[in-house]
Amino acid sequence: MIFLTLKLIRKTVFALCLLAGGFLLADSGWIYAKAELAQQLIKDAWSQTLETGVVVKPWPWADTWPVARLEAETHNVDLYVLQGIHGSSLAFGPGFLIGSARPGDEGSTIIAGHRDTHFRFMADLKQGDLMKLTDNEGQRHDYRVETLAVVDSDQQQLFARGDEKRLVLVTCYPFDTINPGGPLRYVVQAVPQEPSMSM
Amino acid sequence: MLVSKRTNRAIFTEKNDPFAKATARRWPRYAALITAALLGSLLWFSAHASVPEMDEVGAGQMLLQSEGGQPTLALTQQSKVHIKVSGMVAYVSLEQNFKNNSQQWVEGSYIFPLPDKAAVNRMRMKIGERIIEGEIKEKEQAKQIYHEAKAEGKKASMVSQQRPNMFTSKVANIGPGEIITVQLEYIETVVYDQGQFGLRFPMTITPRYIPGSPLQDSDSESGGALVAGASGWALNTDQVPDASEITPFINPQTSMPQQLINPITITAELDMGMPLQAIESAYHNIVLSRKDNRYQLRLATGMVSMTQDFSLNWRPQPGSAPRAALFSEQVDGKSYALLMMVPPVKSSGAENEFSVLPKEAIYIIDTSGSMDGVSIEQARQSLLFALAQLNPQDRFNVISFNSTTHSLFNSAVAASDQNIDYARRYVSGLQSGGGTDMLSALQAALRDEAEVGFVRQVMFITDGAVGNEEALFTTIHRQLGNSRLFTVGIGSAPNSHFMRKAAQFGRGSFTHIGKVAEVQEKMTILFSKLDNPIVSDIQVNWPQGVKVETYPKRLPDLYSGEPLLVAVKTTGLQGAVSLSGKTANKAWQEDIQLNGVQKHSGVATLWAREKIASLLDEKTTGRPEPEVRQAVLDVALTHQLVTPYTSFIAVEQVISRPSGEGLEAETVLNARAKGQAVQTYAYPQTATGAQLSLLWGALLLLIAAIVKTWSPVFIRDEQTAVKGAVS
Repeated sequence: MIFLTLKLIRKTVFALCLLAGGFLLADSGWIYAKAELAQQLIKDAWSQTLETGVVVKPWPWADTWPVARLEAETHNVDLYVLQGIHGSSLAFGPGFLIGSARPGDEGSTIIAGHRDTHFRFMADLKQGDLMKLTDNEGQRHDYRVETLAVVDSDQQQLFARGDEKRLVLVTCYPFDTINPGGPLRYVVQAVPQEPSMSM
Repeated sequence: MLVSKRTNRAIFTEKNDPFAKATARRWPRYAALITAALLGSLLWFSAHASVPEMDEVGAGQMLLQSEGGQPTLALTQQSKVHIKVSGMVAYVSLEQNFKNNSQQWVEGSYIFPLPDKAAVNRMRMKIGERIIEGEIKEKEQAKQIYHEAKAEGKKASMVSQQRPNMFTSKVANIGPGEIITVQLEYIETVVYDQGQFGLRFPMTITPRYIPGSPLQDSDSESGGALVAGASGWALNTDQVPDASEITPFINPQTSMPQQLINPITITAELDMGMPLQAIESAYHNIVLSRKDNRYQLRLATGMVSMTQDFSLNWRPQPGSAPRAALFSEQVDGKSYALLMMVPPVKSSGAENEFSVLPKEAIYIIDTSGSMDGVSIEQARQSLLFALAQLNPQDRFNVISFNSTTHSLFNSAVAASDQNIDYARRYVSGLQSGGGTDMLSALQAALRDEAEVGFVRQVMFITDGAVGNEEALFTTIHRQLGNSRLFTVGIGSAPNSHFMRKAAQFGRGSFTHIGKVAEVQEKMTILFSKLDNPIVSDIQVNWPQGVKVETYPKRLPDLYSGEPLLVAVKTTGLQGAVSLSGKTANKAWQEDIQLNGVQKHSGVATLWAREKIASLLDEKTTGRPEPEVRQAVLDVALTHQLVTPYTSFIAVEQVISRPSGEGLEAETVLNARAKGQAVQTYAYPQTATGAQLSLLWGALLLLIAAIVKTWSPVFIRDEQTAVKGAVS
């Protein structure tokens, strides 16, 4: 009898591990796929927004919509920025922090993204890198990376300085840890840059 | 901290993951099982990725580009307030005009402050010439009526309470270019202290610090708690479950005369039935006019941005300051009365424990991010003033806190010149920044007991910008011991509710400081209270045979210059009420005749408001919430008051929004408090759980593979043995 039980346990463990493992793999695949595919849908919504001048949702039940386009040619980055930094917007694209300065306005424009999907490129950013932000009227704003810093979100809050125009990108840090819940953040600040001929 | 370019990225994908490789070899054998697992997960995801409701879309502010001009907000708000003071009571009417500047239909929401003792007892919705009277309903019921009306395309508005001094107006279906007005009326007792009357109309909300970890919701990959339709910048947390409802967005623009943010007009009328010596508005220029004993005033500029609390004080002619007053009102056959009495206290010469015994003074100073700007300077000056008041025989300590708490000394030390000098230098160097972990600071201050022969006084200098007030009150209530807690509210828009209640549970007193120039005057008054006799063990004895229900239930100790205020519901107002108490070493006793009291409207409402405050305090001191809720509901529904459990709701029966048109949710941005540094936000969660899932998934598959293929010898032998036995 005892041998039969052992066999049963083994079978059960096998089945459970396989099932749970499959679940989790599919989960991670789904997160990446969502991050990738959604940007395509958002792209269409964005071109409509630019044409019509009104907010266009990428899919009917979306609770966010594109508000800007972020490009960094040297890093092969072309992303559509969504309204809000709640989980259901960051899953589909980098998010614009509501309440921070609108792209191109005086003050800090704060955009956050997931370090392991859209904002993975932030790991490669360095001082002097150029970025381009297009607002929802098609106006282009150029920025140059000025500072890169790691901050502890338990100790500090995010400042939306109201005086000067700048672009602030936020993602989680370190880039290569597995645990998604850490307190550290990587903050890159970029200042306006007159568009040069090379861009 | 600067970091250089990083290249050491390790991205886990199925290609380079060693665990995944190991399992991959055996995949064909388990293809069927894996297919099943994938199907299962797909099913799980379709349930997991729940679709938010169409009319609950995320709130925010949409900006419209007017042709060639400044961009305008899609939804703007303009207020108009009129304050009418008669005797001890202020009747205030507030109009909020919501204007939809966009071409779409809009739902607006506005989180706004009101005085912490305001009894909101009337609401009306005005659409052009049409007026719809609001009704008080149980909160959830009101919400349901509102949502139904909103979905049907009817105009509706709802006013609910988040904190005693924080409310939310919601207005559904404002048509393109349309204005809808929400009219509110509230009553409050004016403050009477040191022979001076005063009231405060708060204008904006200093961003609150939200402690705790975000509550998980179904959107597990972000770890965030997205609240559909929420209008705040914070996520709900385990310590502040309604964080998203108390954190209005702040307009990043700076207010300027040509660019007002949430413009407001203020007018007031004072009728004290006596000539006044002075009327002062602490932070706004006013224009005064007088007709007999009635004074009228308005803002000198007509309109201002809602960036700083409006604080008005007035003083009667010397000698005519009232010492006692009694107002009454009959409602539905019941008598209500409001009794005000200033105990006769000699301000000097009297001896009591406070003036005789040396002090152990603990000063707590808030150096969190919300204090950034002018507030930290006001706080430093207040604390330096306090240090200068110490006598050589006193003991003291300074505790500063933001995300962490720091005590200057391990425990209270003697107030020697050297120690005070050390503390002065420490305080002068304090900078603001970081979170607001008030709980640890309070615990640190209340942990120690005073040494024998010392009176322990804790002075708490803060803007009160926190979301977990109730937890803090509970801590004060439980850990106060023999200490007394005094609060000093700092800044242009302090959380007055926190100041008053913390001082009440701390058996102390509170004051407000809104600019550096006020430090001297306000702190002097506070210190005269600290040092001067208090009246304790106050008893109010009503005439025999009369049934009474009085609030507050437990009468507070009084500091010099503070009046006793009692609200009563009674079966009759005849005879005399007898007041008694202990001052220093002698007893005080006094009778007040009840005959011939002044009739005054609003007294019943003020009694109900006091009763509700009293009931809510019981929640802090341990009475179960369901009981408190029921008791509050009974009072609120009878007296038509907004409470945490009741809201005002007004619905127009006509359907105005065509069924084909969508509805955009917009929130009114609060103005940034004057002199305050720009708003800070909590950092968002910016990593997905994908890598974690991937790793665990691969690991589990590996385990599955091992279990399947690796059979220890003894098991194989046993299997043979079993087979053998059977055959």
